[in-house]
Amino acid sequence: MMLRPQASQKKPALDKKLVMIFSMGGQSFAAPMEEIGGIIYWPDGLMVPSETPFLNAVVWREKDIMPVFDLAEMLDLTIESDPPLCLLVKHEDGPLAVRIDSNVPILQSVDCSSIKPPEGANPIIGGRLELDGQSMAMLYLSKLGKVQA
Amino acid sequence: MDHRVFQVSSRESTGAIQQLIVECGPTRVAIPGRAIRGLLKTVETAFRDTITLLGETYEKEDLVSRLDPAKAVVQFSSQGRTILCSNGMWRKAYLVDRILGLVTIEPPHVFPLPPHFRGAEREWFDGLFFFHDVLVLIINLDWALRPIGVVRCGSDLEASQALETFGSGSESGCAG
Repeated sequence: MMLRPQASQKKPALDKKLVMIFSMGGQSFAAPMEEIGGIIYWPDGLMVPSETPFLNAVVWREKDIMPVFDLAEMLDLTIESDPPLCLLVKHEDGPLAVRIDSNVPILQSVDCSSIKPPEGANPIIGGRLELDGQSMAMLYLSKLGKVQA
Repeated sequence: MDHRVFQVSSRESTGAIQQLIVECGPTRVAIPGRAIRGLLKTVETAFRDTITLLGETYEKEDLVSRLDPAKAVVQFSSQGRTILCSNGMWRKAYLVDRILGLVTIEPPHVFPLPPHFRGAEREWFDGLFFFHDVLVLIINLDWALRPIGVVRCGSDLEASQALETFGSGSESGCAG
């Protein structure tokens, strides 16, 4: 007997997307979970004089050295709360650190239909996520510094 | 005036290099020992634009400002030091906030600047290393000593020809 799919079956998981929701300057942002390598307390850092936009320091965990991308400055925000947290990004050029507010980020499974197309021309912003009546930018963190924002 | 003339063994048979670690504004920088000719207290060199030691004249420069024109060393600090540096072609007396230590670094312990840095800083620094569990930037002294406006030539032949034309220590022209 041939099995037929039932109408009551749930939609496949492909319609869902895992996102990390975090805060910078009191504003909420989302990023695809596959771009996040971890979240840690802000580690020791060294200021690096630099002409690369928004790249002005390095941090380290044991012997792993990571550059710091000042995403808050790029978006004209001020990190709230001290000490901040550190988002570890799976960047195209290697691990990258981004400072965020001390509010612990949330991992959320969202419907792909709740991600709207981006409104502006900023290539870092991959769309807008509508969640629980709140709208937030979806950021492509793996491309920070690779494209002109 | 307290002149301390350096006799630094800059390179051992293993390729290890001595580095003088200094605090330079908001960051930590290492100066290769091979280039250091003397060490003075900055308060003893105040109000002077040049320092002469053993017949050689060194032009004073704020190393913090060299790296970031928006910043400067702390003025008249008792910990401030002036480091006389030379690469045989140019000479500078660098003002730094304080000395942190003198170490010998093996090449395997030097890390490159992460590839995310894509600007001129890749020429300013030769890498990073750990000193007592904190990171230090190794300054490229050939870049730092080169006068602003002098462009690095593409070949040794061009460099030697430029030196013949303009002389040693010139602030114009091409130099390797």
